[in-house]
Formats: sequence, C-alpha cells, structure tokens
Amino acid sequence: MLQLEQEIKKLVIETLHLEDITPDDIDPAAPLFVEGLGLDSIDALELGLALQKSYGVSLANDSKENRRHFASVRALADFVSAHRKA
Amino acid sequence: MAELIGLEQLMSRGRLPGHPVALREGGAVGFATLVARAAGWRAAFERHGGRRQALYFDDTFEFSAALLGAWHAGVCVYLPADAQPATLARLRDEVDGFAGKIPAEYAPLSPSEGREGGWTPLSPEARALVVYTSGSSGEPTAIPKRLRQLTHEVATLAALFEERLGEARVVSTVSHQHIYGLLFRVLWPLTAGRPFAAHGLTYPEDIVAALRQGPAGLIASPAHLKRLPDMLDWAQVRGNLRTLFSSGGPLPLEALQACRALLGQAPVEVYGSSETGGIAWRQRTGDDALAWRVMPGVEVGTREEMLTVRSPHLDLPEGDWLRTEDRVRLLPEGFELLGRGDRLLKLEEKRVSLSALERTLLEGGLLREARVLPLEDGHRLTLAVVAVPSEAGWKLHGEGGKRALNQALRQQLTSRFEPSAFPRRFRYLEAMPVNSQGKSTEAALAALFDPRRPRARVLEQSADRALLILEASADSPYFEGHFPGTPILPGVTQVHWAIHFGRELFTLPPDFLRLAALKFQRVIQPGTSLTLELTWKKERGSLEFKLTSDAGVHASGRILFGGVNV
Repeated sequence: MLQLEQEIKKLVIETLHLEDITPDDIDPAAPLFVEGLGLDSIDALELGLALQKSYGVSLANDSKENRRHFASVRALADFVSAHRKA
Repeated sequence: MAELIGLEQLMSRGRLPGHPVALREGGAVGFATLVARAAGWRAAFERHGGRRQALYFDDTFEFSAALLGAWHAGVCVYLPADAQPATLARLRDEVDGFAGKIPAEYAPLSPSEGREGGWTPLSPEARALVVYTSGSSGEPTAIPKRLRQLTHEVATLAALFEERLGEARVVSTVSHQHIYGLLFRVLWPLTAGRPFAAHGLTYPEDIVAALRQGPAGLIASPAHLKRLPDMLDWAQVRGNLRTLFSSGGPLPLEALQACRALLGQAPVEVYGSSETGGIAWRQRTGDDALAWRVMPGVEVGTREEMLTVRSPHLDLPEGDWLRTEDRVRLLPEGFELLGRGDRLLKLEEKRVSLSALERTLLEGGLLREARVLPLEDGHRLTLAVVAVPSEAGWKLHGEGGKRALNQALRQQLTSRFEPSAFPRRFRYLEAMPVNSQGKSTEAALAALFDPRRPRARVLEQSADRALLILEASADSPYFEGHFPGTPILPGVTQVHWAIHFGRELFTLPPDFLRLAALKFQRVIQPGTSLTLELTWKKERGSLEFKLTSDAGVHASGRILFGGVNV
C-alpha cells in the first residue's frame, strides 16, 4: 500500500506539473483539494484521466462517492487497489 | 535657437552643411554628413525594393540617417524594441528586409553609393512607421503610424517644451527603438535643429559624464530615475541639466524625491503609450499629487471610468475616441490617474482579474513587486507569479524554502479567489527584468518559466561582471538522453547558459564568433548547485565564464562576439 501511495504521489506531481514539491512533501492523509495542495476541479478531471490510463480504474457516476475517493492520496490508493484491473 | 523644420521638409529644405546634428566622442556630426549617409541608405533601400524594412541600430545618428533614407525611398520602417532572436524570427514574416545591427543570417542592408540630391517633401499621409507594444496577451502588438501623427507629436512637444531646452544638447537613457525615445531623442531634435548624442546612456555614471560636457536635456525613464545613486557628484553637474523628461511608465514617489534632491528639479513627466501617443504631462515641483495637464490639441473623456482620447497623434476615423486601459477622474485642470483597469482573463470559463490578484499578493507584505501572468501548461492555461520578495519574504524563503513562501502567498488568496485562480508557479527575483524603457515585458517574464532556463539567482552585477547561482535540476530537459543511466550536463548546454545569461545581463553584440580556451574539468550531475561567474570585456568582445560548485571548477572559457558595428 505504501508503494502505491508513493506511486500516486508521483502521478499527482507529474500529471499536474506541480513545482517545488517532492513526493515526500505530500502528506498521504491530507486533503488534496483547496486547503491541502490547493488543487481544483479541473485538476480532479485530469487526475481522473491519469488514474484511468495508469491503473484502468474508472470513476463512478456519483459525485459524492468521487469526492470521497479524491479526498487524499491515501483515499485514492484505497480506491485504486480495490478497483484496479491488473 | 534654430528654425523648426517639419520632418516632411527636413531633407528637401535642408540646413547649413556644418549644422550639428549629432554628437559622438570625436565631436559634432554635421548636417552634410546626415544628408550623405541618408542618400546612401536611400539608394540601398531603393535597390532592395522591399517596402517594409526593419531597422535596429545602437548608434542614434546612423539610425536617423537610415530612417530618413528609408522614408525617402518610400519604405515603411518597422521598429523592433530589441534584436533578440525570437523578436527577429517573428519579424521575418512581417517585413521584406532588415537593416542595422542585426545578425548576418538576416542579410542586413548597408548604405550604398547613390545619387546625392533629389530630395522631395514627404507625404504626411505616408505609412511611415510600425512600432510594437508589449501587449497584455503576451504577443507584442504592432501599431502603425502615419508620418503626420509623428510630426504632430513633435510639434506638440516643441510648442510645450522648446523654450526649456534652449541651446541644450539631447542625451538619453532611453532607446530610439521605442516610440518615446524615437520622438524625444531623434525626431524632435531633428525638427528643432538641436544636436543629440549618438550613444545612449546606460549607467548613472554615464549621465554624470554627459552632464559634465555642457548644457543638456535628459530623456530618461523611471527605470533609471529610481536608481540614482546618491554618492555620485550630482551637485557639480546638475547646473547643466536644462530639463529632465520621464516617460514609459509611472514615476514612483521615491524616484521623484531623488530627482528633486539629487538633480535639483522634478522631471517633466509625459503620459501616453505607443498606441495613444502623448496625452498629458505634469511637473511635480512641489505637489506630489499634481493633476495631469492635457496636451494642446488633445481631448480626453471617460467611458466606464476609463480614459478616452481623441487627438492628432492618433489615426482614427473623424470623431472616434480611443479607449485606454487606465482608470481616471477628470478634473477642471486635467485628470488624475487611478490605476490600470483590471486585466481580466478567462481561466476555465471563470473570469479572473490579474490586477486584483497582484494587489492581494502585495497586501501581505511578503512581496515588494508582483506580476501575475498566464502560461500555457499542457492543454490548460494556468497562472504564474514573478515577484520581488520583501525582507520578510526572503526570510521566509530562506527558513522554510521556496515552497513555504509559495504556500504563504496562496494562503493570502484563499479568502477572495477560487482555487482555479491560484497561481501554480512562482519565480522570485532580486529585481524584475526590465528593458531600457523600464518595462517588464510579458515575454521576458514568461521566459523565466522556460524549462530550458535553469533556476537562477543573481548575486552580484555590475557593468562588466556578474555572479549567479544556477540549479542544474534533475528535471532539466538537457539531462534527457545524455546519457541514459548516467545523466551529465552537456558541455554545449554549459556554454549556452553562459551566453543566455550574458545576453540577459550585458548588451552583447549580435553575432557569436567563436570559443576560446574552453575547458571542461569536471562533469555536472543532476541536482548540482552551480555558481556562474561572467566577465564581459566589451573592448575585446569577449565574455568569460566560469562554472564552479562545492566540488570545484567544472568549466571555463571565453566566448567571442562581434557583428556589424553600426
């Protein structure tokens, strides 16, 4: 799980071209959006696409559910390990 | 004072052969020389045949001769603000040819043999000039001018300020490649028969030296006036300063106070833009908040708080007003400027005011200056900040790292802006990059985010030496494939960085000639923090560089430059 978290941190940084930040700077439990890394809804969109490409996971048509998955790196890792196809 | 001769008639009417036109180290250059050089340029342009020619010169006398030669050959002159590779590459699609101090690959014209006389008056309606602004969208906007717009501007300046200058020469810190410099240091002096200095003044020491030589009018910009060192002997030379002009951007209060204290007078500030031409002026001798006085022949109004203008300096259909981006309050004696209109941008369908972002960033006291600019980032537009931190800002940067300062600034924005408007990238500098007009162009700011440019901080800088810290960061594209598994910084990149920062910090000639004494002593691995020392020996055209780090010397060498010296 730790390894997956690390992978997702890298994916977040690369997908969103984040500067001045390394995987170690991201707290896996901290919120990704607004108050945490300051990401926005477009970032969520891009991140969703990247997750789909890397792990074959698709988001549900349920925004409440999605918001839960995108809450933190840890939540994303849980979501990916539960749904990944490979 | 000499007789005023409009630009249309200057060559056909002429002046006495020995009438001084320009001043060079050796002395005065007379009107006969101007006529001969202009005839040579006219012949060259006629032979070439292209009607659109880009001119870029260092020497203002040679520039004047080429300009007059071009106009009398029926040419429209395009005036780039600089001769940077990107600027010239873009111009290539707009013009038929180039002339002046321009790299050989653009085949610049030089004056040729041709008939001497045969000067006829120019048409006021001629499409004489195209100048460029640093547009807020990033790409410079071309602004065409008819000859009559220029002669009207010169007539306005002469009517307002001719008597203040008297017999003084004209010296300038501002380039003639910009409309302000073109009007004040070339076209007005030519019309008034007043000699101008062929070389621009780069440093405050140059201003002192120029004033020591006799009565002068100084054409300057806030960029210079806010950096007047008080240890120079201004008191000894300021008696020769007849009048001081400032334009190109707002003059900060501390610069005004420095002018009053060191130069013994307040500058005549001129308000206008490349697009609008001159609009108003003022001289804040006592009152810091003095209103702007509208120039004769110019009318002003407002629309939605923004200043509108109607004037002979413009080329608009009869009765049309031009709306500026400046908010104003009209007063009986003129107007008061209230600041720029908010630059609005649509980010992912949401409107964001860049001006409001900048104001909010400055409010926290961590920054002294801040500019927000849009950047293409993959397939979305994001915002970036270029800023000069305050003491408190640098302190936070030093203690918590760059990211701490980024975070603190973003925190300031949370209450007023949506996260989509938060800047994503930050560059912190000791001073904003400015051109000779004192402006930070959008292109110069955007270049700071080019992934090929290493992160850099200038530690020391003088006219001939600079010391910088560069980060050869692991994500630099130059490490890719060089070599797979064992990345090291290519030697050619090291030389490229030396040239790149050499061009940013010194005025180097356009052509690269060769390398000398090149040594690569130690490889540079990703993540190395480098010190780059640059020494510019102008008389030899030699840029010396040395790259060092904690490990010792990595590379050193000399890069030689040259080019048409006109």
